[in-house]
Amino acid sequence: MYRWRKVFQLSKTISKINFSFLNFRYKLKERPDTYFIVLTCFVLSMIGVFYYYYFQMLGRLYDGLSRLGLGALFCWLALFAAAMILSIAGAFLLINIFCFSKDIEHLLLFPVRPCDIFTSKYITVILFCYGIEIILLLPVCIIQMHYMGDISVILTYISAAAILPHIVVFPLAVLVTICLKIAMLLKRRRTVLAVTGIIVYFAGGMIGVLLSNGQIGAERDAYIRLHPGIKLFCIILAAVFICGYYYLSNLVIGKKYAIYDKEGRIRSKAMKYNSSSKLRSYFKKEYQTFFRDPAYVINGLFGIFITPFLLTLSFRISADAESIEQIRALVSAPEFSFYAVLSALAVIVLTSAINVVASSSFSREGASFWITKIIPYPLKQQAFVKVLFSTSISIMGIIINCLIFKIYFNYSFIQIGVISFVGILFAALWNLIGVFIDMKRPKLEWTNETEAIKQNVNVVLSVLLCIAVSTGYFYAAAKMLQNGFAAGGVITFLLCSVCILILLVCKGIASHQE
Amino acid sequence: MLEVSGLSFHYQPHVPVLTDLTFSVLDGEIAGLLGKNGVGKTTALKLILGLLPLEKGSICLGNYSLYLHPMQYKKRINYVSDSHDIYNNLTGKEYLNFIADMYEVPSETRGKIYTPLIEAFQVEKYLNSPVKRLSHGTKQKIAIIASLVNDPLLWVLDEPMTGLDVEAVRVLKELIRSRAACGKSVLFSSHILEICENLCDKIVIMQAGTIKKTIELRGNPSDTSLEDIYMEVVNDVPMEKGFSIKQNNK
Repeated sequence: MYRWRKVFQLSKTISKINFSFLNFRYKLKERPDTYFIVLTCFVLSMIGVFYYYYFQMLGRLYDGLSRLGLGALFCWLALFAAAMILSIAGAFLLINIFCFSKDIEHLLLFPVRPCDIFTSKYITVILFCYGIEIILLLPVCIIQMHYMGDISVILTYISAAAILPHIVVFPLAVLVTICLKIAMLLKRRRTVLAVTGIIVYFAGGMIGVLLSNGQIGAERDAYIRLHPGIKLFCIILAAVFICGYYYLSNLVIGKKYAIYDKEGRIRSKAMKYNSSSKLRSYFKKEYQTFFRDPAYVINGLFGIFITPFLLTLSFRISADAESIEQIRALVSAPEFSFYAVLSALAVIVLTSAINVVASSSFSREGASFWITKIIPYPLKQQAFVKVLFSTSISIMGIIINCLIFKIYFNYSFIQIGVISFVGILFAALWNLIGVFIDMKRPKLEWTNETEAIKQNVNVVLSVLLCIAVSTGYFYAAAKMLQNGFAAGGVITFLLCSVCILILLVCKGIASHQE
Repeated sequence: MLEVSGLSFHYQPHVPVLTDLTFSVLDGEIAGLLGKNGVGKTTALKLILGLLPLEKGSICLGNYSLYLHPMQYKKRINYVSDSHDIYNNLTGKEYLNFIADMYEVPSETRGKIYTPLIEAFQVEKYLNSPVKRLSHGTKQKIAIIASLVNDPLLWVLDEPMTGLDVEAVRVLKELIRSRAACGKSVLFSSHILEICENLCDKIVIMQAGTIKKTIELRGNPSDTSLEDIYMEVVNDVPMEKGFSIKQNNK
C-alpha cells in the first residue's frame, strides 16, 4: 500500500512539473492584473462559444440519426471519435511525459524504483486522457439522456470512459517503455526510438484500417448491449490496467534505468567563418533551433501535417470510389468550381490558424532571450524574421494540402494557384498575429521545451483569435454569396481585407517599444 | 566611458530595487560590482545592457545614450551571462558565427578574434557539438569568446568565473587585464573578493539598491583586506578577527 501511495504522490508531482497550467490556482491567489483578467475572460468566453456549438452540432447529429432510425449509432460514433482523439492525444502525452520531460533525471535520485516513476507517468497520462474524455463525452451523455430519458446510459458512458483511455494508451505506453529500454541498452537518444515506435504502431493500424475496407465496427453495438454488471466490472478493469503496467514496466526496465542523450557531433565543414546578412543569419538560427529539437518539431508540425493526412483518410474510409469520382466531377464543373475553391481555402485557412510555431517564437528563446535583447538587431526586425520563418513552415502545409487537392480531388492549376495565393496571405496574417501576441508577453520561464510551445497561453490566445477571425470571414463570404456577389468580388474582398489586416498587425509590431 | 546616473527601478509597485544609482567606469578601468545577494547587482547590469526597460535615470557609453541611440550603444557593449544560457540547439561554431553576423563582423576579422581565444580556452574540439551537450564550463568559455567578437568598449560580466576550470580562470583574468590595457572598460559582478582585489581598479559596493561605497584600488595600497572593508561596509560594524560559525555538534 505504501508503494502505491508513493506512486500516486509521484504522479501528482509529475503532473505539476509537466503541466504548468495546473499551477493556475497559485495565480488566482496573487492579485490578478488587468491583462490576466481580460485574457481569462476572453479564453473562457471563446471556450463557452465553442462548447455551445459543440452541443448544437451533437444535438443535430442525434436528431438526424434518430430520424434514420440509427439512434444507437450515436453512442458508438461518440465513443469511436473519443477513442481516435485519445489515441492521438495519448501518443503526444506519452512522448512529452516519457521522452521530452527532464523530470526523470531528478526523480531517479530519489529512493524509488524506475517502475514507480514509469507507472506514475502512465497514471498522469491516463488522468489527462480522462480530462479530455470528460470534455468530449459529457455533452454526448447529456444529449442522449435528455432525448432518450434513460438514466442507464450514464453507466454505459462512465464504464466506457473509465476503460477507453487504458485500451488506447496501454499498448502505446508498453511500446514506449520497450523503446526506452532499447534506447538505454543501445545508449541512443530515447526520443527518436520512442517516436519511431509510435509511428510504426500507428502506420500498422492505418494499413489495417485501409485493408479492412470498412469492415471495422461491424460489432459496434456489442458494448452498448452488455449487461450493466459487466459494465461495472469494466470500471474495475481500469485498476487492473494500472497494476498490469506497473508489473510490465518492472519486467521491461528492471531495477536500473539510465538516460543516454549524449549524441555525436553535428557533421560540419572545417573551421570557417562565413559572414552573412543579419536577416539570413537570424533566419538560419531560427531554422536550426527549431528543427534540431524534437519537442518543437513534433508539437509544431503536428497541426500542419495532420490535416491533409486526416482529409485523405476520412475520404478513404467514408467514401467509396464512385462518390470520390462525383466529388472530382463537381470540382471541375464550371458552376461549382468557385465553391470548391472556397471550401479548399477554408481547410487551408483553418489549418494555418492552428499554428503554434509563430505564437511561441519568442517564448522558445527561454533563458537565452537575453541574446535577442543585447544584439544590435532591433526586436521588431527579429519579430519579422520570426514571422518569415513561421510563414515558411505554414507554406509547407499549404503545399501539401494543395498537392492533395490536385492529386486526390483533381483541382485545376488555376484553382490551386488562387487557393495557394490567398492561403499564403492568410497564413502570413495568422503568423503575424501569433508573433505579435508572443512578442508582447513571451513565456520565458520553462523547464521543458514542450511547455514553451504547448502550455503557452499566447498559443491558446493566438489560435482562438485566428479561429474567431476565420469564422468572421466564413460568415462574411457566405453572406456575400447569398446576396449574389460574383466569385471575383468575394476573392477581391478576401484579398483586400487580409492585406489591410496584415498592414495593421505589421504596424503594431513596428511600433513595439523595446 | 560608462556613465550611470540617477538609475531607479522597481519590479513591483512601491518596492524599489534600485534607488538613484550613480557611478561611472572610465576607459581602461576594471570595475567590480559587489554586494549581498538581492541588493540589485544583476538588475543594475541588466539595465546597463538594456535587458530591462529604463524607468528613471540615464546610461551613456561614450557619446551614446542607451535610451536615445540604442543600436549604436549595443554595438559597443557585450555581455557574459552567469547562467550559461546560450542557444542550446546550435553548435558552438554556429553560435560564434551567429553572434559575429549580428555585430556585422567581417569573416577575416572574426577569424582573427576567435582563433587565439579558441586556442587559449582549448575549446576547438567542442565547437562542432550542440551547445546543449556541453558542460557548464565549456558553454561559459564559448559565451566568453563570442562576447569579444565586436571588440566591445564595455565588457560586462556577471559572475564570470562560475563553472570555469583553473586554467580558464587564468585566461579570463588575463583577458580582462588586456582589455583594460587597450583602453576598454570592464564591469563585472562577483562574490569572490580575492579576484576582485587582484583585478579591479575600482570596487563599487551596493546595498539596498544604491551605492554604499566606491573604493579606488589603483594606486591606493591598503593594509586592510577587501574582505574586511566589505564586511564593514555591508554590516556597518567592524569585523572581529577569528569569526566562526557556531555549530551545534551533538
